[in-house]
Amino acid sequence: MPNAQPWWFNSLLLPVANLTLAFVACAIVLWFMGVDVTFAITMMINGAIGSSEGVGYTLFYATNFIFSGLAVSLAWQAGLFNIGAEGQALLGGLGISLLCLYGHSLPLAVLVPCAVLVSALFGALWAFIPGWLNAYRNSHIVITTIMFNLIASSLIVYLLVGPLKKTGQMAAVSATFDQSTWLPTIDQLAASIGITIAPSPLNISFLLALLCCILVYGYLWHSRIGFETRVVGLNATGAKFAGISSKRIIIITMLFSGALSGFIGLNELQGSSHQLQVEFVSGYGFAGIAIALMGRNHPLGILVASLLFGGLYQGGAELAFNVDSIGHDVIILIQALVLLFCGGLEWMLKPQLIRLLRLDGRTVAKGGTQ
Amino acid sequence: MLVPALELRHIDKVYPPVVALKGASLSIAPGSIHGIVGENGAGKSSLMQVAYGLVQPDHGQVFVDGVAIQLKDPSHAIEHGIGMLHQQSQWLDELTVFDNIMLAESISGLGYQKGAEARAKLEQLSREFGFEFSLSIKLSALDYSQRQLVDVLRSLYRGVRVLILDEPLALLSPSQESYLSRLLTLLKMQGISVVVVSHKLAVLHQLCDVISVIRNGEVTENIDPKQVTLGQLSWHMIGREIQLPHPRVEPADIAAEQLLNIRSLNVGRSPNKRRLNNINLSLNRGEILACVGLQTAGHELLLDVISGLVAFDSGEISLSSQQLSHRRYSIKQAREYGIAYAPSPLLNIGLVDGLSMAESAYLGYQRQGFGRWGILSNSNKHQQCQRLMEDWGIVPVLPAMQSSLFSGGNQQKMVLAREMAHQPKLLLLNQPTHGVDAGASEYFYHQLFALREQGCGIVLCSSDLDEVMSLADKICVFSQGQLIETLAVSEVNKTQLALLIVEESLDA
Repeated sequence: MPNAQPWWFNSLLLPVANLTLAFVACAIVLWFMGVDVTFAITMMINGAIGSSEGVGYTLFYATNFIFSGLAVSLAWQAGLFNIGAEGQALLGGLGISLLCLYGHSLPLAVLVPCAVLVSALFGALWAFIPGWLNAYRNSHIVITTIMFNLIASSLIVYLLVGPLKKTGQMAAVSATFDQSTWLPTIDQLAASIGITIAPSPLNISFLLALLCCILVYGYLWHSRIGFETRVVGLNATGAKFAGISSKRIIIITMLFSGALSGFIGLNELQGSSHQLQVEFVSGYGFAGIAIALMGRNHPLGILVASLLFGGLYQGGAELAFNVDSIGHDVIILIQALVLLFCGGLEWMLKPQLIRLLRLDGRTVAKGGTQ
Repeated sequence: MLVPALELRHIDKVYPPVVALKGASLSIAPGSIHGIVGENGAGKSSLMQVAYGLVQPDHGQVFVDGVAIQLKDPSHAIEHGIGMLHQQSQWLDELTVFDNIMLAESISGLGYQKGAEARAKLEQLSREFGFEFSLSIKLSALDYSQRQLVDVLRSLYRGVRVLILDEPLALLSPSQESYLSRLLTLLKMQGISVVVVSHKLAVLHQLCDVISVIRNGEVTENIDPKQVTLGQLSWHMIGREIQLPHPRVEPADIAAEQLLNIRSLNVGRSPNKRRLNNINLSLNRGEILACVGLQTAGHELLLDVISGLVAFDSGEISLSSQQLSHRRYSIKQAREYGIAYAPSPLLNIGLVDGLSMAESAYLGYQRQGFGRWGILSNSNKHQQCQRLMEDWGIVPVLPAMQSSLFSGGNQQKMVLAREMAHQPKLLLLNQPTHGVDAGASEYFYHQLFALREQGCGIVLCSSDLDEVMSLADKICVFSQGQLIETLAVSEVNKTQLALLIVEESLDA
């Protein structure tokens, strides 16, 4: 039966209401911790969007969330629960590092497209194996992708204590990339056309993330292969009847999903830290699951959810940095509450809101006959 | 005047923008057989869902034995003695009939003694109403219509007083048709009211005490079948008289040219376990071949094999003298050869829930539907879909609406419309008009005859022998995986054909 509510109800009003509830819950927890709630909230908002530096950081974090959110949701459209964005991002980062460490003589105009390709390729490769195992050997994609996260992380550790270890140092990090390989940051680009903004790690991979949103949308809803992907995700038997090879779709989808995850390496390593570190992905891959859930598996929703999470990340970091009684855990707490209310309890407020706004069938029915 | 066993008064239900019911009223007398007819999407199923507590009406009231009751959900309806058989029931295949029935019962205390009691009661009911299946047989061993009888038994066990049958499958096969009518008479004698929703006007005309007509969400008439002819009944339903059974159109003379040739086809490797055994048949262009048999006879499997959905193990299939490889043949390839297939609506694989109607209209034909780079033009697709929906009377005409929100008959119409729209060389149809109303069936028959005129070959599986007699040029009778007999339609009449199907299955 068609939705009884107008379009803005589910896609606008409900998320905003859920978000408000999440922040109220946050405020209560902060109040219990003895923190001045108004002060904390002001600081968070200021930290996230109050300065051009803050905005830069917010968008920088959002870039990672967009990539992992798109990766998870693309796989989900084919009915695949890709929990391996974490490992695929690590591999993407490995590819980037190899390119930047050994290919630094290339001019930047060649290196950047190469970096995009290499990170996509490495991520895709890491997703290909679980995809192939699922398509041809019927192994469970959740199990295999989790295992591949662990394998990827061991691989990176091995490389960073061995072959890629920076000489003369104890820490498990690679050598710093040559400055000629660094991705241009947005503040540098702005400076080149005469606009001054505060420096932040925000770099051109944010633009790539926006492009990916558009490409994923076009892929899923305006291309044949995307149509076939959605059919496989909705009903495998129906797909078989429609002459669609599920095996082929599973593998192609996992390749694209892995490639999107791989771009996290681009943003984090080539864009910001400029060296390979053991834990540079630090949960962005898993956060992708939450982002995809909140964004309802739609690129536009994912973009909005990513901006929100980026803001929370940056605002929370600011708060933790400035208030002694608040640790870094508060970021996790806030994210968890947002996820709980906007994801897990997504429809909780729906009946109340419908009644409150008198949007139930009865009034609509009357409206229809008048 | 007796108090009605179930009464629905002025029921309104709107699913914006669709008005499903507007002021529909229905009164079911105790111990009566009450037929419900109406076009696809007229609101029959919606009204039954209200009666069973599946949906809450926006306005209006439900009365059980004269008492107003707000049915919260189906279990509440069952408590009040209202039971409903769905078009597709949810069963656990690996459990026995008994366990499946007891599954929904809350057994208090330690169950063994209670279980024995229940079994005794079920066995008694089973004898009383002449159910042929054993309580200890696994559900997986029963076919669709037998499963519905299990559903009837469950309803009886729960003390049903009004039983709603939405498109009962037993009406599909001629042998069970008579069985169902016996069963309904038995129920009626026990004082149980039966509500039958069906498009088989002829059967309802014979069986029912009263027939209610639903049009555009309203109950427009309550007809005493003894007072009207079958033709008048269709007039009440869609405003024009339809000749029932549908009249034959004889094929035009086109030069016989072989289209499909099947030689010693086998499915299943070991000779004594073959699901299809040594099938030989051929079909010319511009010819309609009907395959008939009981549900397990293998004729429906033959369609799956020709369409490439199920692989065959040995033998030859050639299309226009081109031989199909049994190793690499697939449904995708079949479509490239111009083979279109409308699978049985009972299998629910022709459409995919979650797609819009516009997308459903090219599902399976996505290779032809997209531009050179595989990029889709939406407006074009919407227009094409809209045209199909208008031609076939699929309502509401909203291509963007999800296919699963349409009534079952309208979904089946979309499958037929799609498969027939792509100019097939060979068209395979399985139970094409199940759930499709008489008016739309008539349109479908015309389209089918037009395709035949253009030289399309058609293979049809149908349990509706009226349909077979109206459409077929040639009839193949199947039993236990074998083709027993091929007849020209002029050689038999409907009764002989029904006998033949049952006899062959007894002989084999």
